[in-house]
Amino acid sequence: MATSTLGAAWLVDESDKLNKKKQKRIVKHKKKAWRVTSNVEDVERFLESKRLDERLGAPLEERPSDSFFVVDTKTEADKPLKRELTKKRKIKEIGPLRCYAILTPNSAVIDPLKKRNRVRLPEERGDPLLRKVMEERRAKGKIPTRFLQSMKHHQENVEALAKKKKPERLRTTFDFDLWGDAGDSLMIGDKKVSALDLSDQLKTYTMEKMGNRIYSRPPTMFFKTTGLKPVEYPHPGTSYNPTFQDHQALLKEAYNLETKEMKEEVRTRRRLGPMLKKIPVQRKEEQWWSEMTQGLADEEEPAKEEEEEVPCIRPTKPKTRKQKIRAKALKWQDMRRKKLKEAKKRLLEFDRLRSIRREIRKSEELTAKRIEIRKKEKEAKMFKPAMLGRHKYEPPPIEVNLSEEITGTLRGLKTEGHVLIDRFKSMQRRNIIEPRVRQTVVFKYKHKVFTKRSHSEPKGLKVGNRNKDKTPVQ
Amino acid sequence: MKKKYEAGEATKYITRAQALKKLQLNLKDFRRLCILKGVYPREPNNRKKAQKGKLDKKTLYYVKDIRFLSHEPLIWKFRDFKIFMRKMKTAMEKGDKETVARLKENKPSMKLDHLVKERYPTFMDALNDLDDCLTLCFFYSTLPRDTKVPANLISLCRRLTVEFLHYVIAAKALRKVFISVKGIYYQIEIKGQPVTILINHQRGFKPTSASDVDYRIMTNFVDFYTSMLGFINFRLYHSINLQYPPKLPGITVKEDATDEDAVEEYNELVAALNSSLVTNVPQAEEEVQIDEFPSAEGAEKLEEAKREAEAIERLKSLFKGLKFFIGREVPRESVVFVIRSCDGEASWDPSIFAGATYDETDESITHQIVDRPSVDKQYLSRYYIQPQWLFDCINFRRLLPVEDYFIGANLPPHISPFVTERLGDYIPPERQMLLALQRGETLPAEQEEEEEEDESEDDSSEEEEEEDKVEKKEPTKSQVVKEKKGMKVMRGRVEMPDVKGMEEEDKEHYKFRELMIRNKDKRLYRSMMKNRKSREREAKRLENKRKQHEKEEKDLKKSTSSGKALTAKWSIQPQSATSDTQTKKMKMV
Repeated sequence: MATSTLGAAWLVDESDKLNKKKQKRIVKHKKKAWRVTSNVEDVERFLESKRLDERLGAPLEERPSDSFFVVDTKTEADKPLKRELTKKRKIKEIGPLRCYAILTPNSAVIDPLKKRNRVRLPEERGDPLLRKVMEERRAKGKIPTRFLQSMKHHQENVEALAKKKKPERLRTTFDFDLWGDAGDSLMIGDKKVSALDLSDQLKTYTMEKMGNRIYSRPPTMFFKTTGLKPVEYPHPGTSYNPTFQDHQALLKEAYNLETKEMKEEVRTRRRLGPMLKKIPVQRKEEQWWSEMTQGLADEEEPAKEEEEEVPCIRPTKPKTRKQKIRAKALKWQDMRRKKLKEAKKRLLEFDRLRSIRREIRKSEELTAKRIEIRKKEKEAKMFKPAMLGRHKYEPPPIEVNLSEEITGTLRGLKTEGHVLIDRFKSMQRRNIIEPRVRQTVVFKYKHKVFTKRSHSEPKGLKVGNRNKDKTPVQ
Repeated sequence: MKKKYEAGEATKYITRAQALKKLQLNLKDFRRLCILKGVYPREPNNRKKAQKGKLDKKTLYYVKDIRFLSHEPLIWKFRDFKIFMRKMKTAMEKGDKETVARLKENKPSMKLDHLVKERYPTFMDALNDLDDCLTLCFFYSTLPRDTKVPANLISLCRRLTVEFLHYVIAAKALRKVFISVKGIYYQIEIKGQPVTILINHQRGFKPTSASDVDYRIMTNFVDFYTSMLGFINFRLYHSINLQYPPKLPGITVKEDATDEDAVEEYNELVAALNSSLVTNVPQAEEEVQIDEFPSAEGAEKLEEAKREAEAIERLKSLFKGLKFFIGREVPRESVVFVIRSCDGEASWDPSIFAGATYDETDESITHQIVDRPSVDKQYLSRYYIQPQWLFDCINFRRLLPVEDYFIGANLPPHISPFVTERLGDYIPPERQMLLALQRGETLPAEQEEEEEEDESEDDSSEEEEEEDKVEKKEPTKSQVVKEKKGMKVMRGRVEMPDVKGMEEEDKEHYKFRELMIRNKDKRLYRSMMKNRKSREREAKRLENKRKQHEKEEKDLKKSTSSGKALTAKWSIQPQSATSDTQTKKMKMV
């Protein structure tokens, strides 16, 4: 026990000795030394607080207590219960935003440099004497005329703008007869002439004299696109309360169309049968692999391929002169023979004049027939949708109420079809617009793949794996 | 050597891509320009030649059409608009609101007057193309405001279509109505031209998918059609001495009124279609009499035309003096339009629409149009009928008996007035009735009596009846002639006309005439006859089918014992076009 206390005492002694090291004496007769050695922290702190007070205006103690507190004189009940609907307030009402407060100078210290160069406020600009005179005048009610003028102009402008009608996209007021005198016409001399009735000479004349050229429609524009009516008469079976027969007829039509479509579908299914096989996913993947790696396997063993010896083809021998002459002679001979034959045939044809006549008549008949057929086809074509583009016209489905859907009253009528679709299809049918398949642009961005740091293996090889991971370089 | 594709078909056409390049427009503007100008893609006779050897199918236009397009001043407007949009976009993205406001005030606008005039040099040309125009405008007027279509276009369409309806009412130009499941078809006659319109039912807006309809294209059409319809309305109004922006008598609203509510209210009153408009000058009544021109086969035709004119005259004042009250469940606009265009008076519950003129309690109401199974409080002084009565009356061109159309009654079928039968076609009895009523002025009841009188001629159409009458008269004439001025006055003997012999003679004549047909026409004639025979056969089959169907229905009704058989009423006239074929044939030959 004693030893322990003794030991402790010893320890204390030792530590005291260590702490109470003798301070180094420093000569303080120079400024530099003062700076290093003297402790001016408290002075600095005081000055700092003083500066802060200056920046903020006045120290807290000197300020009146009114500036810190507000006496709440209004009771809760006085406040309006219902708050006005929140609306977007303008920046002018709100004042500068809070986020910009940091940018404003917040020091209350007056600029010590009185003559610092800065942008003058409008009130400070100009000659102070002149300013004074102007102010006096304004106080008396005298305003220079140019100000008055400009104010008046401004007022007028504002009024005119308020009165100005909003520009319409298209014409909305129809206040003259387009097909009458006021319509599209020109004054030529003292005559009013409809622009479309002009002859070619008059057209050039107007161009020379008046500067506006008139173009007439080309004859191609008058070619009819169809023989169909714009609004086709409806099938009597489409009535909301049809007769039995009409309705059955229409139903049959729709049924026939439907069965035809179904048959077509069955047929395509049968034809494409072997192509539309069901394949399990695994097999599909295997196939994909085998397809994708088709060329790669060959690369590995190019050396194995044996170079097959291609049998050498001998180039053709050129004809000799003798051969050429002989060939030419033969050709001539052949031609002569043919000509002779032709002539002989001509001679013989005198005998069969009648049959020739018959042949001619037949061919003429045939052409006449063909012309007629073509004419008919052309007429029939006028009632069919033409092939105007890549896509074929697809007729809309037949609009028909099923037998159980007919209620017989206007109130219970179940509508079918859509007028706008009907119009759209009708225009396609009448070759006014081409059938189109709407193209939708889908932007497909490439996926960027990240691995999270926490999930990824640390980069660099571990010491032990250095040799294992090395892949053979190909 | 002559190069390929430098002449003929190949130089006539231009592909769309080439046209775009030539006009320096994008596809959207190009399509718009084509629609506005009436330039259509064309199918070439020989596609390979037209496409200079290329085989894929391209959209082709006539070169000359495209050249004509290039002179169009509208192209510059498109370019202006493009620039405007660019400026707007920049200003918007910069948040420069002042510039945006200034730009908006100076937004470039187009006028399509010159295009209307160019495409339709005369007013009649424009009337020819009115079907499409009206149908589309009517549809656009019913669109909800939140579609892609600009809202002011929708309101413009509404205004113009209402104006047009007012014209039809004032001119009494409505001829036929047909309610189909798709919409209501109206046929209107303007200056002798029939105009068919399809107006959709007043149901909720049915949205369409993008693959069905391209709204942008249809809006381009409507843009043009609004300009066209405006000018047509102007002209039509002035043709019947109406003030053009339609004005209601007694109510004055300044055109430049700032109070939008007042303007809207006024527009609603106009759209109510319930009061006639202010006229320019007191109208002088004109009675157009059909000029009589002597012509070879004209007598019959003239007669027919006269009858037709009379029927139309009757149609114009069909509901004159009748006072209708329209129930809330009835489509108001179409019913009011139909009533007013046949000179009737209409009113409705003021809660559904503005412009009601009298109350339901008014004792002078003659008809109340109701479309519900029963009504609690009924007035004895008026008929409660279903709306189909109005439409059928117009198609039949006479007031039909109201009994079939009473409230809760099982309605007779609504027959299409647009069907035209060929000879030998099957005509259902309802349709026969309609035809007869349209042609003649016989009431169904009267006709029934007639039927009873001469049942022997039961299966002969009206035309044949006439002929029969002529035949009947002939023998009496001959009798008069045959009374010779002899020495003695003998008692005349009634010589019975040899009807059988005459018929045979006629048949023989007919056969001879058939023989006389030129070889050239013989085949055509034969095929015609063959077709006609097949049609007759089909008609007979259908007639039998109908009879059977009716019989079955009758049995059913008897078994259920509910009400009278409707079909019985319609089967008054078992006429068919089959029987008069013989006479027609003769006429033709």
